[in-house]
Order: sequence, then C-alpha cells, then structure tokens
Amino acid sequence: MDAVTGSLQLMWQGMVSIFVVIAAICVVVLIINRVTKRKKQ
Amino acid sequence: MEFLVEGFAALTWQQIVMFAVGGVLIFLAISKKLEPALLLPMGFGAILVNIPFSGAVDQVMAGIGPVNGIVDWLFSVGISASEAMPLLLFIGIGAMIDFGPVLKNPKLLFFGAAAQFGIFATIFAATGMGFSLTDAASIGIIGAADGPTSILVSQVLGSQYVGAIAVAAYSYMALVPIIQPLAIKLVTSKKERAIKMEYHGEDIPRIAKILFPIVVTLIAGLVAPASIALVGFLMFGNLLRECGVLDSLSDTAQKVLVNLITLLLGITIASTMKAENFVNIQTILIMCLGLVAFFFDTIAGVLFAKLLNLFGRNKINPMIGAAGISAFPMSARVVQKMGLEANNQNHLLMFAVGANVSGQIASVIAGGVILGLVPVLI
Repeated sequence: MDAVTGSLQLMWQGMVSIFVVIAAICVVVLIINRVTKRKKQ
Repeated sequence: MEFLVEGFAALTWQQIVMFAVGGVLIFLAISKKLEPALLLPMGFGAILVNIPFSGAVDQVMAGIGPVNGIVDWLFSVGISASEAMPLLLFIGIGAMIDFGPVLKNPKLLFFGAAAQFGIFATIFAATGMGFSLTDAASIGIIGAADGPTSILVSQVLGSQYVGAIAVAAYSYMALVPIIQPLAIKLVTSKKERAIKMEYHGEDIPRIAKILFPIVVTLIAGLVAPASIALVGFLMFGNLLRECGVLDSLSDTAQKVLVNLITLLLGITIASTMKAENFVNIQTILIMCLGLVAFFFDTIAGVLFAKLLNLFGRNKINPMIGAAGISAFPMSARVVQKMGLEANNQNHLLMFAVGANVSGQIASVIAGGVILGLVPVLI
C-alpha cells in the first residue's frame, strides 16, 4: 500500500475510531449523570 | 593555543542559521509572550546544542573517545526511552482540568472528536508531498494542538523530525488567537456567529467527577489500548484533583511537576534541533503543514457544528466547534471573544470551555489511535 492510500485509510479508520471512543464515553457520562441525579433526588 | 579558535573555525552556516532560529524563539517567548515556558528553553537549547564541539551533546573527543552530553542524555532517558517527560506532564495537565462543563453537557465531547480532522487532512497532505506514512503521521499530530502528544507520537513512531514538529506544535498553539479567527470567518457568516446559546448550569455531584476519569480510562483503554498511556496519565492527574483527599498531591502536580517537566522538556527537545537534522527543506514543509493542521481542525469543528444544526432544534453557534481543538484555554477565549463581537449579549464561554476540554480528551485519544493504526497500515 502506498503512503497516500495509507493516509486515506488512516483518515477513515482514525476518525471512526475517535468518534466511537467519544460516543462510548458520552453514553457512560449520560448514565453517570442520570444515576447520580436520581440518587440526589 | 590553536584550540581557542577551533570553535570559530568549525562553525558552519547551518549552525549560524540555528543560532538565528534560537534567537527568534527566545524573542517570540520574551517579546511576544508566545508559549514562553517552552519556546524560551527550546530557543536557548537550539543555541546550546549547535555550538561546535558542544559539551552539551554526545560527541567523540580527540584523544578521549565518546563523551556523553547532558542534553542528549536527558532526551535519551526522558523522551526516547519511555516518553517519560511528556507523559508525566499529562499528570499535571489532568490535575489542572475541570471536566465539569463536559459532564454538564456531554454532547460537547463530539466537537472534540470532529476537530481532530486536521490531523488526518495534514497526514494526507504530507504523504502527497512525499513524506513516509510514519513521518506524515508524526507531522499530522501537530493538529492535536497538544505539544506533549505531538512529541510522544512522533518519538514513538521514530520520526526524524521531532524537533521541527515540537517547534511547530508549540508555535501554532501560541498563534491560535490569530489562526482560528481567520479560519472561523472563512466558513461562517456574521449571522451564524451571532447565534445565541442559553447556558443552564447545574452542579455536578462529586461522585460523577470522580467516576469520570476512571471510566474514560477504562473505555479508552479497552477500545484503543495504544492511547492508554496518554489518556491514563491525563485521567490519573484529574482523579488526583477530583478525589478531594489528595489536595497537596494535586497541587504539586499542577504546579511543581508541570513547571519542572516543562523546564526540562524544552531544553531536552533541543537535542533534536541540531543543524544537520533541522536546517533542511522538510522543516519548512513541516511548519507549513502545521498551519494546515490547525486550519483544518478549526474548519472541521465549525462544519460539524453546522451539520448538527441541520438536524437539531436548538441551534448551536458553529464557533463552538472550533473550540474542539486541544489548545486550552486559548481556543475557548477566541470563541467567546468572537461571539461577543457578533452579538454583545452572546456569552459562549461555558460551551466553548466544554468543547475545549473535550478537545483535550479527543487529542490524546487521536494520538493513541494513530499509534495503534499506523504500524498496521505500513
């Protein structure tokens, strides 16, 4: 695989990976917020 | 007495250029106050390591043999061997960051992710210019807008341009207040910049703030294990801050540790700024590509916010997307200032800070993702 094709693959896989990790963190933060809010109430 | 003039006789024009580069960095640090904590030691270090027969770097002395220099030793132990310096710096950075705005508004995390696009756009551009994928990835990581991440990733990938990458990363971070407004104005109208956002702040329970660094470490570690050193040290610092029982350690991490590592990191990076490695056309290309990275980061963040506005009911000021880069807190300040310029009742700071700290998380994840993916793709 040449470097330019590799960089396009890296762009695609990299951005998807970052969004997946961030989405997972976001979901967990929402769960934490919901649980702690319920506890507070 | 010939040895008294040996240094002058051995001086090359490339070394004189490096003295000038060092002088410019020191000037920018002192006169323009651009990242002085890093640019001043780097500038002085650039002079230190480029003096002919400098005792600060490894060399072979006539009649004695190989002699170790302190700057090369610091680089070897502090960066090359285990990336200890940039990683330890992350403990201090983590201890400084309040993730409260992200916990209040988790969707801001996505702006941090979108604003990493500049990294990959730059990698693509760099490969188009003839750099290998590993060097291109090392150059692209300048777009993480995070000096320690740039140093760590380029070092782990074995790039020969660590010095130029570090100079570009720290210089452009300092130039965020100049670069970002240009990029933002390029892709937004005044009407869009004037979009008002209402902030509804609620107190975040302490337990949520304590759980956040642990959970982020677990998720990032399980999904992208290569990012765990970066994310883990950042989150460890944050846990020290939020746990509430280690105030003195948190305080030490925020002040003493950060100052000590910063002091050494700048001069250590100078080890990679020797004339023979630095004075070449690639360094100029890297400086240009660094600018491309910051520009595309900003544009991608803004366009992502505009994309969300197509679907959402509550309109987001697209400038919030620009704050998704990791340059904290400059980027948030830029957005707040531009928001007030467009509408003097528009206070975007809390949203911008949330996006900005999200950028901190996303940039270290991006660093880890690149470290994980590049070896697979070459």
